[in-house]
Order: sequence, then structure tokens, then C-alpha cells
Amino acid sequence: MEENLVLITFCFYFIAALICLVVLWHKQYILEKMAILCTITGFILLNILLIYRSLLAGRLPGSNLYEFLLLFAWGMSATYLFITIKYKLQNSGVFILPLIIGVLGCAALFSSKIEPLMPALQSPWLKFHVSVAMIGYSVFAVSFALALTSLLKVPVIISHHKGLDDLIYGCNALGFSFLTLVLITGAIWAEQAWGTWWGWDPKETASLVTWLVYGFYLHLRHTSIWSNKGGAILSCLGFFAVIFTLMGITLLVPGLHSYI
Amino acid sequence: MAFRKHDVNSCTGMGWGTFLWRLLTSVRIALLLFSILAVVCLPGIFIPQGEDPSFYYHNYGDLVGSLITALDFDQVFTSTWFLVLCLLLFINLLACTIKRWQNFYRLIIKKPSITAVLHFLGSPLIHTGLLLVLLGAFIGAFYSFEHYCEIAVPGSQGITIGEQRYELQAVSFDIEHHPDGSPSQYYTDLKLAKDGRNLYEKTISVNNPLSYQGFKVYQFNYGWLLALSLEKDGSSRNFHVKDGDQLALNEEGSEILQLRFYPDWARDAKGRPISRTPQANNPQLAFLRTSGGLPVDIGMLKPQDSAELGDGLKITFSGYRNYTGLHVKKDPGVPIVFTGFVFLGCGIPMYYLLSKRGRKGE
Repeated sequence: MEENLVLITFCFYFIAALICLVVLWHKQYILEKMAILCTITGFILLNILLIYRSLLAGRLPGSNLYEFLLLFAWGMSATYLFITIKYKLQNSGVFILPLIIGVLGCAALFSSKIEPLMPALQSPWLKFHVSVAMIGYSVFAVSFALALTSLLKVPVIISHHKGLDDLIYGCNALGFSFLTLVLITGAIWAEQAWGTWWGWDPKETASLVTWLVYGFYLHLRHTSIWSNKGGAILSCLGFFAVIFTLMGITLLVPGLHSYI
Repeated sequence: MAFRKHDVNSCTGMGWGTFLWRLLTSVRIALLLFSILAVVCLPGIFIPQGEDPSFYYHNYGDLVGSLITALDFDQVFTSTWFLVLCLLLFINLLACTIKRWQNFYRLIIKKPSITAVLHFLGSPLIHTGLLLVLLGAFIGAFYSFEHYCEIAVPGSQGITIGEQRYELQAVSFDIEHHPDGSPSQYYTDLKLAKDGRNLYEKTISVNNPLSYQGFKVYQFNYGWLLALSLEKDGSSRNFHVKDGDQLALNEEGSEILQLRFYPDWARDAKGRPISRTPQANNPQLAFLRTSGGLPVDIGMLKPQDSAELGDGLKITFSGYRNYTGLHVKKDPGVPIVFTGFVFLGCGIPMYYLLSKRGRKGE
């Protein structure tokens, strides 16, 4: 049941991404609407999947990499749909939809077995820590996708008074706020579980590096050396740091934070 | 004009001060520090930290290994240069925080709207919060107290925190399991006493430490403590050994007794000994005696059983108990750090969610 649901969801996002690519060469109103419709269908399926899984496990998802990646895909879809509909963007799905497909594909590589929570994970902070991370990372993903459209000069045409660069800035500022909350909730939780609020665990350190990259971006914007291109490159760099923190550390470097 | 000139002249005397202040509050310096910090964190992520120097020579080769140890890349976050870098960041942050408060003052005397005031307050709050976090981290790094102890259950141990001498008493230890047998929680019933008087009692578990007057006791570990008695030529001695440890039988340490405890002894499908559960349902002790690295005696003992070994040494397995591994910690920096978190938690939404022009958008 669950595997099939993941597969069907995956297919809808895949079709949406294909249509988006077609629209890039062959602009047609009806195709654009179809892409959005496919994404919305995929998003609804993802909601069903997450609710089904929560009921099955008897808790909210987010305690292993598989569950977090599903949440991540959910957050990216929600942010993408919100920003596309609110600011009437076009071609904005060209990069975010393949990214969602990639994340869903990655999720399928990890074990979907429902494991009981180990003692360290049994804390009310788990919900907060995971949900703020999901929101922050999703917003960063959308900012990365928008930065790519800006760097590769894909016309996103905004019929709103805000420019693409302002949208990227908005995403990064929001993502940075949530990343700060990730670090704060993590620190409070670590103080309760491990007895130290900061222990230079590889995952912690990588999150700090991510935080510094986006902190750099936000400060750079207030200086005279700011350029939209530089900002877009930094947004990409920041998102690489996010992906590295999320997946790279778990797969490559051993540490205390080994469950996700 | 003359007045202006006088002004400039008086400033040349303060030129260095102004220059220094500009430098300290410079966003570019902050950007530089951000990038340096981000880069130096990388060896801290990729190179395992705090290992023996030989580890680096063995794994990275002589040249890279010597570079790693020389540059302190094996202990990035406790190295002097990292501390200096953090101090520079602290100074920069302190100066910037002061500047942000000055800017805030300059803006509010123009009497803007309430939302604008809150927006302008956001930035100094964020910077003050970060300053407090960094300050708390420094205090923690230099003045925190940490102690790990293992207490047999039931049993007690004295600990000294600062000038005070306390007694930690472990009354009981318990493991709770999930239906699939994996551990769900570890509990220790703890009593904290001083001069024979009970101060505090609590059942601690992972994520739920005992907290008393600024220090905390965390559930960290557990294991088995084995009681043995060794008898030779009419004299006998009692020993307490942790499961997994070994006991030296002679002074040179060439004769060793290795011990492995199976609380619920069974054999798996391939006939190897395993413990079915962590509970003591069928406790058995496996021992291996080696002499000069070669095995000389091997056997299994149930509680109260004895075994007579080759040279007349009699080994008795007199009993077993749990020990609970506790982390005692006092970090005076934590309240400061958490206050910083509150500042950040308030400042960030104020700065980013409220528009400086009052209403959203325009």
C-alpha cells in the first residue's frame, strides 16, 4: 500500500516536471495549468501518505531519514505551490519539481520500516525540532530552485511588483529564521538528552556552517559589494550545505546524531 | 566654515579611535569572520576529532598526519587559534550590537509606528541574543564541571561539586522495552544527599535528568557488575569487575581472566552463546583465563558456582548487579545561552515578519 502510494505520488510529480520542461520550449496556458494540477494531485497524495503513515506508527513522521525526506518533499511542494500561486510565477517548477522527484526517489532508497523510538528520541522536542527543520529546508530548496532560474536566465516572469531577487531574499530570510530555530530547539534538546547544548557533533557543525553561509548572504545584501548573481550563487551554496547536513553527514560521517 | 574646520581638527586626534570603531563595526569584517569560521569548521567535520596522534599518521600518511596534528586539525574546536577566532567574532559582534542599539535609538526618536519600532528592535535583539549565546559558550568552556560515574545498584558514590560534597545514591535501575524487545527507556531511582541528609529524590531517564542547584545528573549508560571471589592456597579475595572488563591475576599482568556475562543465556541457531533478553532470566558467566596471551582455562559459571582451575586457583561467581552510568554536569553558561535563545526567538520574527514601513508591502 505505502510503496504503491509513494510510486503514484512520484509519477504525478514526474509528469508535472515533464510538462514544466515542455512549457519551457513550447509555452501554452493549458499545459501550465496541467503542471500545477499534477503537482496539486501529487501533493494531496503525499498528504494521504503522511497521514496513513502517522496512523500506522501512532506518532508523527520524522524520526528517520525516510520519513524526513517525505516531509521534506511535502514542505517543498507546499512552499512551491504557495509561492507560485501567490506571486503568479511561471516556469518556477523547472528546478523544484525535479528536486522533489529526487528527494522522493532518495526516500525510496532508505528503509521505510516503522521502528520504535530509541530513548534519546523520546522527547517533546522531537516534533518541534523536526518540523522547523522541515520548513526551513523546504524554503531553502525553493530559494535554491529560484536562484537556479535566475542564474540560468529562465524567465520566471512575475506579474507582481516583487522581483525574483526579492523572492529569493524572502525565502532565505525565512529559511534562516527557521534554521536558527532548528539550532535552538536542537540545543535545548541536546542539553536535556546528552547534557551539553553544543558538542561539535558533525551534524551540529554542518548545521552551523549552513547557518554561516545564509548569515553571510543576509549581511552581504546590506553592503555595496552585493550583486544579484552573487546572491543567487550563495543561495545555491547554502542549499548544498543543507543537503550535505541532511544526507552527507548521515551517510559519510559517524556521530551522535545518527538517526537522521 | 571655521567651526567646521575646528571640528575636523579635533577629529584628527581621534582618528585612530574612529578608524578602529569603523573597523570593529564593519559588516565586511563580519563577512570575513563568517567565511573563515565556515571554512575552519570543515576539518572539524571531516577529520575525526580527538584521536591519538598515531591515528592520523596511520590513516592519512606521515605528511598529512603531521600537518593535521601540527595545525590542531585533530582538535579544531578546542585549539587556541579557534578560540582566538571566536574571540574576534565576539569583539566584532559586541561592537556591532552596540552600533545596532545606537541605530535603534536614532530611529525611534523620529517616532515611527509601533510595527516599525518592533521591526527596528529586531536586529539589536538578534545581535544581543547571539552575543549572549557566545558569552555563555565561553563561560561554559572555561567554568563547566563534568564528571562521569558508575554506581552499583543499589549503591552510592560521593561526588564533589565546587566546594560541596554530595552523595549520589542509586536505589534501583530499570529498563523498559518496546514490544519488539528494543530498549525504550532507562530509569535510575536517584537520591541526592549531603551530610547524611536527603536533599532530593528523582527517577531519572534519558531526556529527563535530575536538576539540583545548577547541576544536573543524566542517565548515560548502564551495565553489569560481577562479583567474583578467587581462592588459592587457603587465602581468598573478592573482586568486583564490570562486564566486558578483565582481571589481572598476577602483578605483571601476564595472567588475565577475561569475563563475559550473559544475563539470559541461550544459543542461537548456529550454536553461539547469546543473551536472549537484557533481563537476568538465565544468568551465566563465561570466563577465559590466558597466560602470556595464550588461553589456559575456559568455562561457564552460574551464580554461586565455583570452578577449580589447573593450578589450584578456585574461582567463584558470587553474584551480579546492575550499575548505572551517570553524567554529572554543571555549566554556568547554560542560563546565559538560553536567555540568548529567548532574545533570538523574539528578535527574528520581529525583524523579518514586521515591515519597517508599518504595513506589509508598502
